[in-house]
Amino acid sequence: MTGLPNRRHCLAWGLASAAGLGLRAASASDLVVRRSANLPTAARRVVALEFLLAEMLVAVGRPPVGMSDPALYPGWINVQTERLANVADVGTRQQPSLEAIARLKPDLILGLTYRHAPLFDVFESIAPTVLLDFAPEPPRTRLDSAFALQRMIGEFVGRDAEAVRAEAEVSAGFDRDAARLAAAGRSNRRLVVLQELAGLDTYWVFTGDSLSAGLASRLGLRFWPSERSREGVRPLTSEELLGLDDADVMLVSMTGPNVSLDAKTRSAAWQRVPALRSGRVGLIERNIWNFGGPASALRLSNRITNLMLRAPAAG
Amino acid sequence: MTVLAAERPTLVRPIPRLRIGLPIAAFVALVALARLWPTWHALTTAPGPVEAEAARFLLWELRLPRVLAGLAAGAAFGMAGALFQAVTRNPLAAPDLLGVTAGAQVGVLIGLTVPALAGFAGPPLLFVCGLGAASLALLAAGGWRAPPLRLLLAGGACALLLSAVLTVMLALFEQDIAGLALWSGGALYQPGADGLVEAACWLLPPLVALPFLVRGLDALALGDDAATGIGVAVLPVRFAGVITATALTAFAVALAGPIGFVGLIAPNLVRAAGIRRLTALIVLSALVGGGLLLAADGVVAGLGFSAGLSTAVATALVGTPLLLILVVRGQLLSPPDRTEAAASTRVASLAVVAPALGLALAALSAFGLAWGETWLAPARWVTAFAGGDNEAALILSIRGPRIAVAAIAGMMLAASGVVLQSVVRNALAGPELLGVTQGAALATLVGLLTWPLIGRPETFALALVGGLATLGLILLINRRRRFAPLPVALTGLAFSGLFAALTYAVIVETSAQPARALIWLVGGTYGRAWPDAVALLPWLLVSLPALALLSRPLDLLTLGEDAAAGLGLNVALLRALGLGLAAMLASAAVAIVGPLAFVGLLTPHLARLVGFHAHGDRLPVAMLLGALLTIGADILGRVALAPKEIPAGALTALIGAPYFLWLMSRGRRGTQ
Repeated sequence: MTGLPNRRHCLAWGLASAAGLGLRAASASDLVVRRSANLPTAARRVVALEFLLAEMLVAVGRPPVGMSDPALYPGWINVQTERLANVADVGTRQQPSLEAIARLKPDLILGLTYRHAPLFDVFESIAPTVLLDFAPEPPRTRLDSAFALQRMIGEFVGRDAEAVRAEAEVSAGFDRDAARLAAAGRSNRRLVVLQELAGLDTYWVFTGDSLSAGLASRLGLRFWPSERSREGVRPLTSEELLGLDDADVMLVSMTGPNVSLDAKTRSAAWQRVPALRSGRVGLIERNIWNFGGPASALRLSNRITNLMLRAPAAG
Repeated sequence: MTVLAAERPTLVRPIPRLRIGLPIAAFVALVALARLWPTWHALTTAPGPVEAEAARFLLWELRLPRVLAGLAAGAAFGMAGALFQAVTRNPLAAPDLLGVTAGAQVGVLIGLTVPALAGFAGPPLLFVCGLGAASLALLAAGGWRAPPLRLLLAGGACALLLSAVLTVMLALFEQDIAGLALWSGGALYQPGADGLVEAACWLLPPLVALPFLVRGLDALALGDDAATGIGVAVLPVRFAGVITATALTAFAVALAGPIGFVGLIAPNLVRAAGIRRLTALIVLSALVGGGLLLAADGVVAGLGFSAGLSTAVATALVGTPLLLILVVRGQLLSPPDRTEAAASTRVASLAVVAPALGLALAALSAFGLAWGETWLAPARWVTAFAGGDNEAALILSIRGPRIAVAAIAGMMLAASGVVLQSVVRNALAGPELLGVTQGAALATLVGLLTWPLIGRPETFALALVGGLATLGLILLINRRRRFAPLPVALTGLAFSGLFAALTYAVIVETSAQPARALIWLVGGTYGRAWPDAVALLPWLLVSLPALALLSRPLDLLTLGEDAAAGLGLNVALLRALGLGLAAMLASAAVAIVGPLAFVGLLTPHLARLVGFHAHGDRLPVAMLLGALLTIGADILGRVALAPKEIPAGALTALIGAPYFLWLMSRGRRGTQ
């Protein structure tokens, strides 16, 4: 939009330089920003302080003993929720209850750098702690990070083999979806993924480093916008969609299923969006799979593929 | 010019209306044209019918509605400000300062999180919430006749309370409201003309009501008795005035987001230009407000900042200097305001009260160590100390430092409040209403977001730089006015507003996930460890002798500046030392616990309420009370919704604000 460096660039630069080595590559060890010196060889009582960490622990067959906001997990991720039935609630993701964590006598605490960096010392006084990051270096995406994180978590809990197998399953799922798209002649179409927000016709669009972008390349699709951002999203208004003639737009809802796509796209601007006119806008149920792990990515892949196949053939 | 303008309309000739109105109208038209010109140009030079059609859509359905939305919202804010000011006869009454904007914001959040209310979301819900906030502020300040400063502070306390509510909701429903922070910065994007037309329906009722109100409100400027004398029903007119102004605000907030600052700036600018008559004032305020918002939105769009985000920041950046110029030039002065909070006779001597409070502090701390999801009887503390009970030791190491940090920070904030109130000679000042806390918080937050692994010394440095710089600016601006209470309070409020807007901008620009920053902004003791307490303690210890030394001179200062100087006191030096000490105490506390609200504002009053006026007595009592309040908030926040944590800052605001407002209304009755 502009050639001038704005605040976002300056702050991004500051953050990148501060994080330093941690962001250089998306190989497993570099996704760890802080970790205790001595970790158990195979942790058995793990506390997960973010949804995606709990999801990955389930995927490798070692569900956490405690997690943040388990009551909200079904509403936002809902992948293998039944395997988290007995997990203890340790409070919110941002300010988990230290006492609740301590009571569980964990042997490993998994958190995220951007939320929990100031709490590292406190966590470590309770149990060995690893703080993870999933900002990928170009040209990698958050999908690559998700796979790398899941493999690493598999190692932490001594379930390396399960992690490899889970990854293979998800990859096979992507391949099946890619094949379905190719068979219907939908390969190479341009994918745009939006997250609905509270504002009037204002959205987050997932950018070139997002999990969706990684998914697009696995599904044989092109992705818009290709530029990267620090957290995988940037704001967008419906006006920007007017110029996209050949895109399939996936809108991730923030409301319940009672509000239809028609109700969400009533504005004059939406009515002129080429994708809507040609029936290529799909509504995906409320979720945060874009901020989840490989299993979330597979859910997202299935939804996108189904919605794209439902849209009329390219004309 | 130095008197509340509306009070003496007869002295000023109402001639310059046209001379001023025309240039303003021309300016607004010019800004609007500049905004529309590129699209118009594209339309006229379109090479084919397809391009022309697209350009036509762009012009008529996107650009023009956005410009009109900016104009309408700005105008509504401007008119609302002019109305509030006429109703209260207070040049500083504005949607923001009365808490109406914050109330409307709570309305937006309720509409989002309570699906059952979705049908009423939009202007009606915003109107109800805004009206509630305005009533609260007016009630606490003591009704229509409240002096400007009192109303200002009641509104400020109201706004602080509502923003605490807002932040707690944001923190608890983190995912549901992702992106709401984006809207909080002001969003004028209009995806078509229809939506604007629909929204405009809500502008009609207040606009229709306006002409019927003007005569009555104009008469109010003469004073209640004079107005009654010429047959104006004073109470109904005021009532209708507040409702109309709130409806205007609700419309504007629904359309453009919480940019209520415009409502303060626009009428005061118009008044500074010599306009006195209400009709002219309202019309011109609408024009100026519309122009301001449009220009701010244009700057934002032109520079390509994130979608709609920075309109509030741009408005604050433009508006704050204007406001400060008015302060410096003394055009916002008003009659002296004697607002002393309730004074009462001493309940007992310090020798009784201080040990009693100390005992209460020890008891509350012990209770805090024991109470929680796991009850820890004192017997287990002993075994834990002896190394025999690892679980108890672990839990004590979580609860202990939080209580210690709460106690130290509470004392520091309370001491800061006492000194500040005496030096500024404003019984209702506090570090959070003077912008010192917000300045320290902004600097610290930028540091925390930019370098997530930042250490404690750097945090202290940033907080001190932010807090002291804010104080320095306030002092610099008010130097020539000899730190008169109203200009100082107003300068502080202006800075608070600016910093709040900047803080939101920093949060939204650095991260799409604002929860961590928002929670820090409420202030709290969560996750604080022994090193935090150890780092904070020296600041308190160093300031204790200074406080002891200053307490006697501060007593003299309360006798009045001249009396103090007559007794051989170097007033300027005392002020500088006192303000520096107060700012240091508040800033250092902010570095560890964040901008905890109301402790510094409230505890000095509590100390006075139990009868301690001399600083030598009041300081220790206030500090002990500050520690008690903060520890109480810490324990309650940890246990109330366990395992969910409520930030202690939210609790001090939720406990402190109602009490403060009650205290204000009580103090008023006491003086009447």
